[in-house]
Amino acid sequence: MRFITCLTIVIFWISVQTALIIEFSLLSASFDFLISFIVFLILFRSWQETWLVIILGGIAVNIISGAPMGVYMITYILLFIFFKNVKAYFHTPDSSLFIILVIIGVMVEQFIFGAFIFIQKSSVLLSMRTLRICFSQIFMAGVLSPLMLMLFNKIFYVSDRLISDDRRTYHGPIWKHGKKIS
Amino acid sequence: MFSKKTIVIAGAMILITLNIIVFSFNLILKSSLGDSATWATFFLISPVQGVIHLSLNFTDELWKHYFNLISVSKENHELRKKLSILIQYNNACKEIEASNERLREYVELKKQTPNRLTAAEVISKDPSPWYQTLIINKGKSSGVVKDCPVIISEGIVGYVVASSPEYAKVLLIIDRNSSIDAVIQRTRGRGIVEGMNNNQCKLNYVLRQLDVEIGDTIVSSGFDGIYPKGIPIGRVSKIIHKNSGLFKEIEMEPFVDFSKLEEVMVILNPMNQEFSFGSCDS
Repeated sequence: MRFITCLTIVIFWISVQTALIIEFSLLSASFDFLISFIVFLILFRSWQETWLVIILGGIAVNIISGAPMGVYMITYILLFIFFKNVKAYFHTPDSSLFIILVIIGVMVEQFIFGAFIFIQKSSVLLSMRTLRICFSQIFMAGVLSPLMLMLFNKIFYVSDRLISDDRRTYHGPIWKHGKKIS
Repeated sequence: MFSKKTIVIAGAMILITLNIIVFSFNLILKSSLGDSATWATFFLISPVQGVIHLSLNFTDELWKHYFNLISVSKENHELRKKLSILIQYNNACKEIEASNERLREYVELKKQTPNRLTAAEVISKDPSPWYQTLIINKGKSSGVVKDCPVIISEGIVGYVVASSPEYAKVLLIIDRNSSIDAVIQRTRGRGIVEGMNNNQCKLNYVLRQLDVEIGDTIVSSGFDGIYPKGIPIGRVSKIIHKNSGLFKEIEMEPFVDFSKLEEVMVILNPMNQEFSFGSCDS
């Protein structure tokens, strides 16, 4: 159920970003929404869910995008490595930490994309348009990430409740250490 | 002295006489007396009547409006509903009209070319602003395979870089990874069109001595093995003259407005045949 929830969000998020958000000229340079989801998973959920989203989400976005294969997954893996222990070091409220990490994540992704394009085309990308895209993405990340945090919290709250209800209504045998208890 | 009966009869006679006299006077002095009486009556009564009438009217109006408001509100609600339906219908008509116009252009395009074309709808765009691709709703099952050129009536859109049975990914000519072998239509000078990622392209490797002017149309040369010859790509928008170097630096504006792409045509059998675009000089 938890994994299904994660996959549903990944599919929904990618679809919203590529088919809906991109149509609005104001949000055309919007940041990668999956970053917010991955940061949420890193901070508040299990590593299994996080890795599932990193691998499947990374592949899915890469297939849709024109970016070189693996760039997105590399970005997400790096974010996982950078952020996995961050909660132990920074004692800030969860929401503030989430927003900051999403913004950092967006910046990391921009840097990785820039590096890849530089490797491919051997040209520096520092133009007004590049800077505008970067700032616009960081701004959008700052504005939208609190809303996304609320949304994820709500979705997982409902999903976890459904799981616990499922467990409560389980009528089959209960096993412990390979032995049937009842 | 007089009997009671005589007094009554005399009194009646006097009253009748007086009455006749008053009537007679009234007839004679009708204008002045009548007018005065009328004026006096109106002066005293009419204002009160007016106030009462106004009050009644006010109450009546209030009453009517109070009840009417409920029905008017309902009617307003109904009319708003109808209006919104009509607005939607109007928008749908406009969309159909625009779509019809585009499809008519595609039909014209189909007639002009010997190539087999299939129309596809753009369903999504690249999630990253650093790359310029889009997804169309036609894939291998419709004959759309890797390297199929994608065009619209204005010119080249890009080519298919990946396809599944139902969908295909198109690399736009404005992407940095896109290159097209092109010629300047007027002078036949050759160059390579590359994307700049900002809705513009540049024309590289154009020899310095070649004559190029702003506004010159660039078309595909057909030598790259992907795009058929003669499809318009764009127009020269800027020429940077350098004192040294073998080639000119030329920026060009594609004919296609990539922000408004909704439907595209995929060339299914891209032979190296010449396209005959009627409007490529416009």
